[in-house]
Amino acid sequence: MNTPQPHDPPKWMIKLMRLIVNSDYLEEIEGDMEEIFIDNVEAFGVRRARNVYFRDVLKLIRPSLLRKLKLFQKLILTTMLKNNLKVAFRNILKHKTNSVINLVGLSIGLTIGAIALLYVTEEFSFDDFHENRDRIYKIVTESDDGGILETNAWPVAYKLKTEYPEVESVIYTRKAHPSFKVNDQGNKYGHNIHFASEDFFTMFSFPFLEGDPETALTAPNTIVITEAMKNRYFDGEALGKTLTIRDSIKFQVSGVVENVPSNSQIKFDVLISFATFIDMTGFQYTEGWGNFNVRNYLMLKEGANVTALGEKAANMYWDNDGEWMEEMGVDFQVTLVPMKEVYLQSEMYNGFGPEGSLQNVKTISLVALFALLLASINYINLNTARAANRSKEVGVRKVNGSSKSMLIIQFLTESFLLTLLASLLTIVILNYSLPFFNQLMDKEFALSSYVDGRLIGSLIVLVTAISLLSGYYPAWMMARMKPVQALKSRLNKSAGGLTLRKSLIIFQFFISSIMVLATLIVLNQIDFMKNQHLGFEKEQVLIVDGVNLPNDVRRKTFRNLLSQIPAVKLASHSNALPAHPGWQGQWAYPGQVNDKPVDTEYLAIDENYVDVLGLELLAGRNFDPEMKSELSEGLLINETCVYAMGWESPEDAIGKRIVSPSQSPQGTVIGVLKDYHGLGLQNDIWPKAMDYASDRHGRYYAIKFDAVNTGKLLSGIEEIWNELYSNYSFEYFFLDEAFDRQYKQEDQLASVLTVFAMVILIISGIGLFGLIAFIASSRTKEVGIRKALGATVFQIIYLFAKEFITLILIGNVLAIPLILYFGKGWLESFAYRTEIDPFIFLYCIGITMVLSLLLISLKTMKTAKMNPVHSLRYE
Amino acid sequence: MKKTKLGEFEEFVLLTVVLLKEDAYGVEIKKELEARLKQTLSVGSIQSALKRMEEKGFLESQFGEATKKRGGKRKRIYSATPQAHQVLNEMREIRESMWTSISIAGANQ
Repeated sequence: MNTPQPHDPPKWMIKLMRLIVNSDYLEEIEGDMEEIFIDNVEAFGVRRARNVYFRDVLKLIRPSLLRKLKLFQKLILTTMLKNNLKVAFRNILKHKTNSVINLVGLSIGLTIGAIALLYVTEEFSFDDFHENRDRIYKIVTESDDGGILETNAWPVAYKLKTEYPEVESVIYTRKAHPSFKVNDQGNKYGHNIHFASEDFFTMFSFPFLEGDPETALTAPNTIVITEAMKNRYFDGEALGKTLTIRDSIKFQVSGVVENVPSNSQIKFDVLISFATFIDMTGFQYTEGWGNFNVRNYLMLKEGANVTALGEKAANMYWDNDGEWMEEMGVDFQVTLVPMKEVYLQSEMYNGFGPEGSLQNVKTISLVALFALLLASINYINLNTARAANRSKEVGVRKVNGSSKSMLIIQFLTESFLLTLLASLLTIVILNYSLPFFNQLMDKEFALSSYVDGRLIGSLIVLVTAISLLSGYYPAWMMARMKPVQALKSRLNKSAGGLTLRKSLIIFQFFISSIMVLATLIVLNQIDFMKNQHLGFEKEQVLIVDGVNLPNDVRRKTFRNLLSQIPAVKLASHSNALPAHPGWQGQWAYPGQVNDKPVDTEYLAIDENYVDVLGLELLAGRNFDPEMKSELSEGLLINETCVYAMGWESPEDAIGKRIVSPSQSPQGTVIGVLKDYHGLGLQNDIWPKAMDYASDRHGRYYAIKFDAVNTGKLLSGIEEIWNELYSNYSFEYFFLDEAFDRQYKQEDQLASVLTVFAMVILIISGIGLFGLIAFIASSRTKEVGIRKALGATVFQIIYLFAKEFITLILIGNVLAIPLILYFGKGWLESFAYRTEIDPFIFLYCIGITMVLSLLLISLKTMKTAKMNPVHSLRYE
Repeated sequence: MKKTKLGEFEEFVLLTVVLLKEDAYGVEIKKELEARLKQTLSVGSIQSALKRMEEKGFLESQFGEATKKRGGKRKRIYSATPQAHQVLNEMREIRESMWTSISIAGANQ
């Protein structure tokens, strides 16, 4: 793997240096740079050394050291181009405000464009490092209601392998239980651990550093680890050494692979041979048609037809287990999803790593495109506005024999030069802003990927496209002026340029409003979800995670001892909590098994559960430890469950029986709870059924505490923990934080949108500012006359502002129907949602107006305040 | 003075090359000069001065050894040409004669 060592200068900087420095000097300079870098690392640390390195690379850009390209030289040194470049440079320097505005706008646009490019490139490159990718398929289960389960029943993959000749290999994988932690001299560390069967490494291409990919996962109790794991737990070679997992299971390292690349949807730190799992559990590949808990991949033989295989295999469940499925009233199909589509194109859950979203890719590309477009619009607007000022230049050139196309080339040279400067600035901005964007988008982008042929290619295309897009129209407009008119500077003021400029401003604010409105809608929905009454009390509940604990009487002792701590009001022991669902998808039936299962969430709780969470009983009663029969037979269900079972009311449900093939949940309803949100508000409330079985299934201790008196709370709990479970790590979290973490994706979307909306607003604002600056200076005389005739400063500002206010308002209004349509669509993905608040349109108009008025008055104030004596003498 | 001129910074770099003798390569020159001028210099500024002077004929250079610290890249060792020594001496003489005149003038006041 080519990840840079922490003590190397970043690769992309080295590549950049190689690109610009004369090859005769390269060896010497590169050596010097490296030596200085290493000195600096020792003296000031890596961060500072990198910054110095970066600065030094940039300072290498000077004529005596630059690479001499013959072709390049020839091209540039053509007299005409040389002259064009000179004029372009002078123009850029002469109109500093104008150039700075264009430069800043373009480089912000390009930065966003570059980040989108990085993002999109990575999303599309997912899993492309597997040599056999085109032959690999993920086996999934499709049910009759269209839902997709990413796991399969046990015999499916086995049968595919043994009974279908076109299949080369299949693999079984499964995520290891959270209690599988690396035990390093008594300290336990959680890692991403999976079980995988022996053909894993012949199917997927994860390069081996030690060991043999063909046999690494064959024997029980062997593991393959990544390089990072090896460096963490072993000195030198790891092959053949052992690693202890859980409490005392020893695993022999049979292979070390390079760290999993960031663009892999299969992520792991440790893979345990599947044979280990078989040994531990006694499961068999040939049995368990109802056990949907293995994740399988399949590799076809070269040239085999996947459609034919898919058709043959689809009905496997019916052929083998039809009777049972009929009885249960369900239907399943075996489906093969091509590996290259799993990440981006399919929307199913991926228990092995990240899931991509085509929607996000589209949105981000679109926003980046907008940013670039708006920056180009700035250029067009500013330069068409200035056209009149340059008419003399055009006139003189034309009189001296310059053709239209030569003029166009001259103006295009200018826009090309400016875009090029902007892209240099972009590299600098990117270098410093990437960490921020990485944090924002939860990615690990590095600039090194830039110095890759394809990306450099796309950047060159981007720069050229932007130069042409922004430069062509102004160039054409200026070049077509008639020499006589041009020399007289008598340009028709209402020529096409003005209407175009107006429409472009409308477009800019149309886009800006869309971004602002979208951000407001997302923020509103998040606010709604976070402040909605959930039906339980999430504050002041501390949760201790007992995932590793052995199943014995100490579980109950621990709960009971907790109540001795003064700050603890009440403690409960259960297998599920809000945001930590119980067993979902359990089939339950009212009375007896029939053909309509109710998809139920099963929870195992104790008598304190209802009070700790502040749940409300609608009918019946809670579990009572005194009434032993109710403890073993009773069930609490929620309101949704009542109606899902077909009962009429909570009262009606009391005393009714629920059965289930897995016996969880099974029993008689003794109480009905008012509905509460067990999951984030993206989700509907599921039917829930709870029995009193926390001793068997308990994992979490939920502790309601007294907010006033938290001083000894944690230390008290930990003390009791250490008394009972001195060998186990003590892990805790707060219920409200855990619950709000379910909105992480929405929170992330909101911050990305906020940043992008701000960028878009800034670009539009900058353009508006430049335009106003120009208009204000060209109308200085008019202002002087108006003032001399008695106009106030305010009236003059209004004079400038009114034209733009109309344009901004139109932009805003145009955005409304679009945002209503798409906003509704987005909100519909939430089970519980706000309506689009009409006030956001007012906010948005407010935001854009205030921003524009601020910019307008800032710039016009000077002109408006000017003493008429001076302004009349202006020019 | 000869036609070929020596800028102030170039003179400093050239003097450093003479001073460092066989140690005169990029990094050492930079360190030495930074210590004497009490300011940070970029690699680019030193290198462009060296290249310019080499072109003007004040410096000669040849590759030295490669070290691990340099990622296996060879150093380039610079040495001043006779012409450079001559120009340096001339400049020094001119300066000294001027300073002497100044101090005499100062003493006469």
